[in-house]
Amino acid sequence: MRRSRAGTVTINAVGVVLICVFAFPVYWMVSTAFKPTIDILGYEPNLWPSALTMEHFHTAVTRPLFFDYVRNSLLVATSTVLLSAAVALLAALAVARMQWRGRRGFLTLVLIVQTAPFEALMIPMFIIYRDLGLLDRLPALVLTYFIFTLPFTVWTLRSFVAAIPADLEEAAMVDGCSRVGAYVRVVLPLLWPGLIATGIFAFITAWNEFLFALVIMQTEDRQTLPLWLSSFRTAFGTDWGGTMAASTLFTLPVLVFFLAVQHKLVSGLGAGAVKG
Amino acid sequence: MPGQLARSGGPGDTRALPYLLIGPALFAMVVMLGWPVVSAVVISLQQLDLAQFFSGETVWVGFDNYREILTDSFFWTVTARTVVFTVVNVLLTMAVGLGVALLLGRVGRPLRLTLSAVLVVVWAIPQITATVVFQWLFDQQFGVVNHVLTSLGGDFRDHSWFSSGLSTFAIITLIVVWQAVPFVALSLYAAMTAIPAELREAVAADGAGPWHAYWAITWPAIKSMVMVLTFLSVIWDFKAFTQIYAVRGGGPDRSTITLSLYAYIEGIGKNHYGVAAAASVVMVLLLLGLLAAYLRLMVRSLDEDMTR
Amino acid sequence: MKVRHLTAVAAVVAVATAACSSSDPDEADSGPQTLTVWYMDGSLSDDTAAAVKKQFEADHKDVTVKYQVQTWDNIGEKLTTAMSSKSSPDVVEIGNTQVAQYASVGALADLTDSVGDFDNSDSWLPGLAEPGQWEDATFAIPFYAGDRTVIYRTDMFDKAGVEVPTSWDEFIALGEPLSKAHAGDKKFMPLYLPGQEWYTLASLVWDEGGDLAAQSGDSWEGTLSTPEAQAGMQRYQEMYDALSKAPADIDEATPQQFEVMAQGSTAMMIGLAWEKGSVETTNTELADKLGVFALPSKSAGQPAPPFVGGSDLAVPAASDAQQLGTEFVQLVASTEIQTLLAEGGAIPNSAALADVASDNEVLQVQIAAAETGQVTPVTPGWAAVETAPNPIKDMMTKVLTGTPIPDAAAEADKLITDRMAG
Repeated sequence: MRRSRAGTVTINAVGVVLICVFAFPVYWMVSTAFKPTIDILGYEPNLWPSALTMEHFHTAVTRPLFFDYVRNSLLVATSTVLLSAAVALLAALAVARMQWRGRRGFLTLVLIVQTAPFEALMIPMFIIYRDLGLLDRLPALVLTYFIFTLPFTVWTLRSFVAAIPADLEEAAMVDGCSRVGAYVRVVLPLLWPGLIATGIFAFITAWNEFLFALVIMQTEDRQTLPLWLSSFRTAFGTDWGGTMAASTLFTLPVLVFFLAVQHKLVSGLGAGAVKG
Repeated sequence: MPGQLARSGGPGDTRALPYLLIGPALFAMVVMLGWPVVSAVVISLQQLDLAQFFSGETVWVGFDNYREILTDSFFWTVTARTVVFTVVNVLLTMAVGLGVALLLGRVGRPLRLTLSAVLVVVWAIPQITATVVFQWLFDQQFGVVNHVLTSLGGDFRDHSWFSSGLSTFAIITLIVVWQAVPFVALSLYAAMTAIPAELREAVAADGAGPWHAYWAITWPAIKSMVMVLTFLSVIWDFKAFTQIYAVRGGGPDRSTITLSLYAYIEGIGKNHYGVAAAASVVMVLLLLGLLAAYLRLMVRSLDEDMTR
Repeated sequence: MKVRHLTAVAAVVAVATAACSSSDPDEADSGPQTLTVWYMDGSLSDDTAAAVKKQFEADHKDVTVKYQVQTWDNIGEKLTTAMSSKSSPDVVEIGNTQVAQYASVGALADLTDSVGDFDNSDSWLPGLAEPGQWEDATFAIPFYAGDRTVIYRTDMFDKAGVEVPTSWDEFIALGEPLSKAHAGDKKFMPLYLPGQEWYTLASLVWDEGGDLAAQSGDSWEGTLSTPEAQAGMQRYQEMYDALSKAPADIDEATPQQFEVMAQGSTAMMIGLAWEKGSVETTNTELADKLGVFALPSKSAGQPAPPFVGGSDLAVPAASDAQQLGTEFVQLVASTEIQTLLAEGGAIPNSAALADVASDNEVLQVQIAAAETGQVTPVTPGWAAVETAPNPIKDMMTKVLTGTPIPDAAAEADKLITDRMAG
């Protein structure tokens, strides 16, 4: 699409403003993490930290069991992403590509399930896990988050599958691909943006969840990072420097994950489509 | 599973295939989620206080828990408040999110990457941290916002942003929308990337204006995503808890208590898990009531997809 | 005695029938065992924790003590769920105002019969011991206490030429000379007192002879409307108006008071012992410039009875090592370990230990005050009152921003009564 130069400049300027607006609180979080405690509060707030310290980061990573928390969180979050993508993709294919009795009912169910109040299911789920002897096991946490993220993932992947013209697969099959080959070579590349969007969603959901992790995982070295993050909040108040440093570290893996896969998402409108 | 896919065999296989494909998802939703949901409904008909929780005793109370909630006039105040809060937040989130998504598609590559990275970070920040940061930006004595506004000429020294319910809700809305926009914007943007390049070029070649192009190409491609995102936003904002509770615990003077806080205070806060369960059943029913028409619309719109 | 016995039997029955605690307590005494102990982040220093573990393991062959340090966020949910499961901890720390709700439902083991074996059990601080009692039985043992005193800047007092006040009137009168002496600092305030510091309000209410709630028949009701309680609120308002410029709608936790005092524009705050230390480490220039005195009572020369915060230790009923757990609690509550705690700056659990750490001036002031200290009503319903939004805090903000005390107090009473009724 051709645009006027002025239009392009305006659009990019709006982009820059938006970045600033969205990034400012993030900047505040990160810069606070580097400020000495006495500079954190100030009657004259400093936009730029006048002195830098690694003290809060040091406190944060030297908390006991920090690396156990990191390992558990990574394990739980990636398992959730994979499990939820695999199960949802199968269902999405069935829903988007096939006509069958009960399809509408299934879709309605997916939507209704989305309204389930997970926080309110904490007590019943705890009782069930307790009776099944699943407490204190990481797979229990993965299953819980998998259920949290499944409906959105099914629904979203369905719309991505549906957006791929069916004749594309057929064309590929005519070219001699098997049905599986057709899916892998033609459909899957087109699904990347959807898989990434839902993957980030599942990752963040699992990565950030606090209450179930607190209640289901009882042994300290089996807990996840949100519990570590909460250790900077006490009955007496919040350790701001510690919380901000911990939150900065906490957010990093998501950013890394995103940067690793972004080329599949950010490569530009239409770039992913119909190259097969 | 791939084996199943590969077989293009007899009609019997084809008929079973979709059910095999949805099998795992169906199991997860019906059994793994259905069980706790049913047990929540059962609990909502019980008196399950700390005493019963520890003794394992079951005390049936019929609909008492529901009666207790539904006859509380404060409950209805809170319900109305929650609906208004939800509508405002969802509209803002969707409008800003759509704007950002369209922008993402039109800015240059470096900006696009920066903006999406910022969005991902904003999305990933734990809600409680986001709330603490905003609380602090708007702090009465030490907040940057008061400081900047004052140095710009206003008198915002010692201005309290949390002295009235409306002002407190404004800050809460800011936090909620700020953190919800990234998800909406990135999902919509992802949906837009599915538009075939040829289609764009074809419409551009027709010399169509941007509005026409938008309605002709972009909107059909993102419509179902917009619907599901709106649906999700309604659900999430209706149930929003962390930000509201952390900002002022429902204050000042209980004026920012929404349904999820009400359920927490009456249920968990008083250790009445039966009441808590009943409150969430009521919340879900209200939510489904509000969304029923929309839900039907969404399921119906899928059939258009199929026939396209 | 009979009542106590019946309660004990009931507790045993409850334990035996609970789905979660099928194991026989006796079988636990053979073979290698792990004793799981929960304490709150910050309650025990690493050294003290290690010393306790070492001694306990030396006294009990084949037993390993495993600590699980708990954070404060959602600790109620965490305790409730864990104590109902098979993998229940064997010893838990519980905030003193939270004990009653667990003691009253059979979640804790009855320790009544072994109370005599504890050091100093006849001189435990009432603010810790009373909350551990339920229907004449003992379910939780005093661990350590904390109370608030006035922490002040000695240099600022010197500059203004004022002395440590010995009466309420002298205290209120500090405002003028302090402000005058620091007129150059626009941010100066004599006392940093946020509007919702309800622990100090409670202290003033008790000083006037009132209370936060009282039992009437089978139920409890809020009593902030009584003349005594209203007088307490009036004194809070007097203090706030005369000495503080802090916001009326925040509590002592956000921002934390020590961070404000460390900014250097505040002459006094009402805080816990560790907050004094935190001011000093945050702003090292203030290290030698802080002193403490007790908040004066309305009767000259005496401290107002402070709110006694702190923790108790208990053995969950679902624990399969109750005997060992009890012995562990005995060790932590012993004179020896309590002395270690006091040396670390905590108020020990007994008045008999008042002389330990006699070189710690802050602690001495706090221990002296703690003996007159009081605690929130000992009843399971109280915990719900403290759930945000705490009606007492709302009342305080309303009064400080212009609502007449009787109106605000009446509304708070209604909410407190409702919350306590469950």
